[in-house]
Amino acid sequence: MIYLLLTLLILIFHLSFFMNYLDLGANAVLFAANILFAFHGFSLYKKTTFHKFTLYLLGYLLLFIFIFFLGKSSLLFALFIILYSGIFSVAQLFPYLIILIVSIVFLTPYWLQSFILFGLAYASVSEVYKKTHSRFLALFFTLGFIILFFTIFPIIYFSFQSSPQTLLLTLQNSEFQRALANSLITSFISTLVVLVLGVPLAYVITRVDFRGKKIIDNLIDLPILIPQTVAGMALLVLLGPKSPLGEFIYKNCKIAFAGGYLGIIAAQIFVSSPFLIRSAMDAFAGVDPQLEDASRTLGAGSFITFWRIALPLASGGIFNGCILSWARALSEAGSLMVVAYRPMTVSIYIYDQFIQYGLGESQPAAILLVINCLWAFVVLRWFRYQIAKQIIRKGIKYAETG
Amino acid sequence: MLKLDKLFRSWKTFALKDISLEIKKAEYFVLLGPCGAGKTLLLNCIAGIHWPDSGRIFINGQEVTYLFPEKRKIGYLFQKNLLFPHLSIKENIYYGLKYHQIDEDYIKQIFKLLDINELFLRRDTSNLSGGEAQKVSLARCLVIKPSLLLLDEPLHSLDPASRENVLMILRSLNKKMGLTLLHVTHDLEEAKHLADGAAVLIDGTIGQRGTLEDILNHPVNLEVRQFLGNKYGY
Repeated sequence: MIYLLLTLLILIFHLSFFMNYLDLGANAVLFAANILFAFHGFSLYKKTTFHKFTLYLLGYLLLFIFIFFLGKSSLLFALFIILYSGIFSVAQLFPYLIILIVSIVFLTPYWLQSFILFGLAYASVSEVYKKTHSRFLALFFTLGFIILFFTIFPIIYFSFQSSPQTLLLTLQNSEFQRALANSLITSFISTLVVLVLGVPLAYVITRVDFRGKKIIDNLIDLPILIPQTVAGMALLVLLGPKSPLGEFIYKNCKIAFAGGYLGIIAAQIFVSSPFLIRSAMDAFAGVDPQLEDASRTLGAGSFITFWRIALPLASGGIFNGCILSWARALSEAGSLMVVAYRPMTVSIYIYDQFIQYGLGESQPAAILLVINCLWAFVVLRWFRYQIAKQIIRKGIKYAETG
Repeated sequence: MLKLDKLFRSWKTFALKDISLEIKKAEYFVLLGPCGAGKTLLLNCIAGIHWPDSGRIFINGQEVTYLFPEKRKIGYLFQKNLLFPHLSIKENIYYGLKYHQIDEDYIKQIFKLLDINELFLRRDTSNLSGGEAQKVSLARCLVIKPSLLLLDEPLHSLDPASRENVLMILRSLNKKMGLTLLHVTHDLEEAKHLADGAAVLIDGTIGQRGTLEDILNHPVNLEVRQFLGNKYGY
């Protein structure tokens, strides 16, 4: 009886008030939504506290003001009211609805991307809160998510900006292919060089206390501090065609650094070395030096001990460093512009396209590079995980070095 | 067998001062001392992990003072069990055999004495109990047929049952196989079960050297007396 009365009341309200503003179809949909809202509210009123019921009504009011009144979108309003009344009592889903509504109302052009990201953020933060029951940690995590959001959002948004057809066409472009191949090969070689030279350095710095260690330790980070173009200039001054060293090398080996593959590799080594060396240092620091002492008392010399004990136990962290270093080498552009604009690497190619033809032309190549990098990153991470599993078997604390 | 001659070694703010000590062949020697007395540092010097600043170390009459640890053929059981986490139990035990020629019979004898044959069936070192891990590291030192075995508080973190087990193994290593052992501990009860000869190391110097009975009954100075505590010292 009471439901019938309620329905009748809403019907009268709709006929008298909304008929002036809305067409018949929209009015009917809104009517259905309002009925659902009222019925659900009625049952809620009987079950829960007054406090919660007031919240329920307040939510309706807010939706009305923002979407119906300010947003002037009656159908969207009806849809949200249906979702709202349905989900209000489901505590797990309700926050997502709010995120969806906020994304659509306030971030209209980016609503899908922001809904995905904010949803993920909420899911992670609530997970942290559930695990620790600490508001402080949850708040810290939220703050952390802001910086992640700032870095991830542009990339995700950017990656959806070109159609697959355009991407495919760019991928078939021979100039792009050559640039990509150049990048992959040179960054692989430079990572290999940094690996062979950087790991021994990292090992000695972590294992031995010597005078001047602090200075060397700080010098490792130098390439991160220096602007890339300056690094390029420094290399050019040292190895360029007019420098004594560059001339000497060219005369004797017929190798030109500037404007050649060697120049590219030199620049990449310069900018990417800190990442690998730092990771390797952290990895070696995570290996108990007493394990190495034990190995030596058992008869293994210092190199064999390094090879059989320190290196396998640190390999996870070192591999991680390789990935970082490789990624840094691949993405290098600033110093290459100075040292070796040609042969083009893919980052230079993108820059070149951007300068010559503008954003629209360079965009597909850039997206392809992003996709390529992400793909490689995921595969390498997986590979690292497999290696770690093989070398450092399950349940062993030392595995947590990278 | 082992002879230390006026050993000096500084380590950060601490120093071993003028350590002279002689251990006979097949002797079970217990080095007592409070925490921070430099016991581990002394073992590290004997094993070759640290080199002394001055003084000399002889093993079987040969000077080894500046020899690398891998050349000394000394077994060293560290305070932590220090099993290599990335190797299996078997790989751990056989680790040193790549660098030493040891006959099969001796290895079998060791395995039998330690009773660890069934541990080979298990793979990971991570799920060994404290006593099992201690036995595996002991086996790892013993298979290279060391001339001297250094033990750094080997019973320190074991439960009573495995403590007794390891204690028994250590004694039979000494009595049956004639191995020379240098056992470092601050536990007097442990020492009473094992020691032939003993010395007390206090603050980097040898406080007293003699038989354990001698030390317990007639501590030579106040520091030794304080270390021994109420039960023996006063």
